[in-house]
Amino acid sequence: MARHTNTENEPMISVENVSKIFNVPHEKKNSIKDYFLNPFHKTKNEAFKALDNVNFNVKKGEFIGIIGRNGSGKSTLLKILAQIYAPTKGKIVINGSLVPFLELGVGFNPELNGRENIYLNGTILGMSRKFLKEKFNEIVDFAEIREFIDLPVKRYSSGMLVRLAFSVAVQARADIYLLDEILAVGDISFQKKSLSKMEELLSGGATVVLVSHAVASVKQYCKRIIILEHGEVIFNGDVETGLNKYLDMMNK
Amino acid sequence: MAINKIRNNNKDLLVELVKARFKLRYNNSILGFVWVLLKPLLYFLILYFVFTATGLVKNDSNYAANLFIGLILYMFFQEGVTFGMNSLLDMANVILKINFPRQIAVLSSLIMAMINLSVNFLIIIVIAMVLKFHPHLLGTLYCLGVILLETLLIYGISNFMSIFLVKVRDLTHIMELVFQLLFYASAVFYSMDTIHGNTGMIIRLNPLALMIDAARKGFVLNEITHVPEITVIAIITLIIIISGQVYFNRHIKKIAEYF
Repeated sequence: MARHTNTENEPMISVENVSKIFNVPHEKKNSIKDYFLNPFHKTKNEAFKALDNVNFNVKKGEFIGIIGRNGSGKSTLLKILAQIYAPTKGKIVINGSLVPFLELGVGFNPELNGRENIYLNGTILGMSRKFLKEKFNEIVDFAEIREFIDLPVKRYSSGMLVRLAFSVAVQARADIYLLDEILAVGDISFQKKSLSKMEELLSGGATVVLVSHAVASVKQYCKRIIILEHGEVIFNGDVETGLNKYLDMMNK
Repeated sequence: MAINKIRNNNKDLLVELVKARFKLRYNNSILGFVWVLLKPLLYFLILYFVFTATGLVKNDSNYAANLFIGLILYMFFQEGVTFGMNSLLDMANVILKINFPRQIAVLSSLIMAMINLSVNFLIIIVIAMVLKFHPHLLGTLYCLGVILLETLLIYGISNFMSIFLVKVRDLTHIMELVFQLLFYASAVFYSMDTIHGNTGMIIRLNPLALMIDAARKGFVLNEITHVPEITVIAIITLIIIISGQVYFNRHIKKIAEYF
């Protein structure tokens, strides 16, 4: 990912006329048998427009929330910002390093032990081995799993696993973070700890895009919100007005 | 600044992926890594037994050496292409969550196959030392050059196959048959010199058969053979690598939608 020099006014993220169309085949056809059985029968593809001409910018240090119903295109948008999906039309420009937290523990393998998973997951998230080595003890202590670190993670409880995954993820340093919900995991005491760690990470001048269903956390953290409905931006502005509109929408 | 450490880590990611795949591959087996050595040795014994016992191979005083070199170069090709083909699909869950340079997935599978090949090559060196066989420098270099060419060919093919497999899952079954055919058509357990006639043409034009024959004649007999054919294969490999890169880069952007 190229890092560009960023002046104050230049947006960190700019989304210009982005549309995303998925071709949803009526019958999934990805085996050759299907082609042989029905060589002349073209699969009917139904075009599903997940995003429709979306435009917005995110400035440096901004914390914006994206809300909307299930199926309104939030996740698709997040995946386009994370450069996992390419937009069908339009373009996005990202000025800076970006780490997506779409899921904890990406690349975790149950057969590998805690130590190996820290390095694997950490490098997948973009950290260097040297950096992980420096942070290793901090990660293990924060996750409270020191005595289990050499055990395959398939033997971990789900709580231990999610604590480890969180502790690695929260070490990622970037200019821009993409979040699918505010991450507070584990039991109540770890939730508190992880929430304050998360806030520490996000408060240091980072640019954050949060996708959330939780009105409370949007209210608490976001400075601006975008409402998506059927893949279109129907609101882009201050939090209070936006949330009122959103709640009205949901009550209809 | 810590930020600079993000995404300058492609090499580190490659190292961790190779390490992880390696551990996973040999983790739950009792003999673990020994299988890398054992597999070609046992294959070798089976084939050696079959072809000497039935008397199908005659007049080849170097049959054991020829067979073993043929076998490990064939296995390298098969493993390399198979690993490469599966490289993207195997990492589907990561590809759907994080944008990392996808080429690293393909490279890590190539490195896996290369590690196996190097271990097998060590066996050859050990056996050569035990038998007090002294390979000649020129022939050995030619052999290594041909192996390098094979590696590049595998990489070029992997760039296509990794994408194909995601789109057409049947490829796994098709490739099993292709490898079966390739095994018989690649001069692994017989010499190219014994192949004549029109149907034999298929074998004489098979790049893998030519590379295997050139590599073993270089190493065992210190003969530099098939130079024009190897040159043509090198040019074709170059074309496959370049077009493979173009194809890969064009299709990789949309690959997440096919999983």
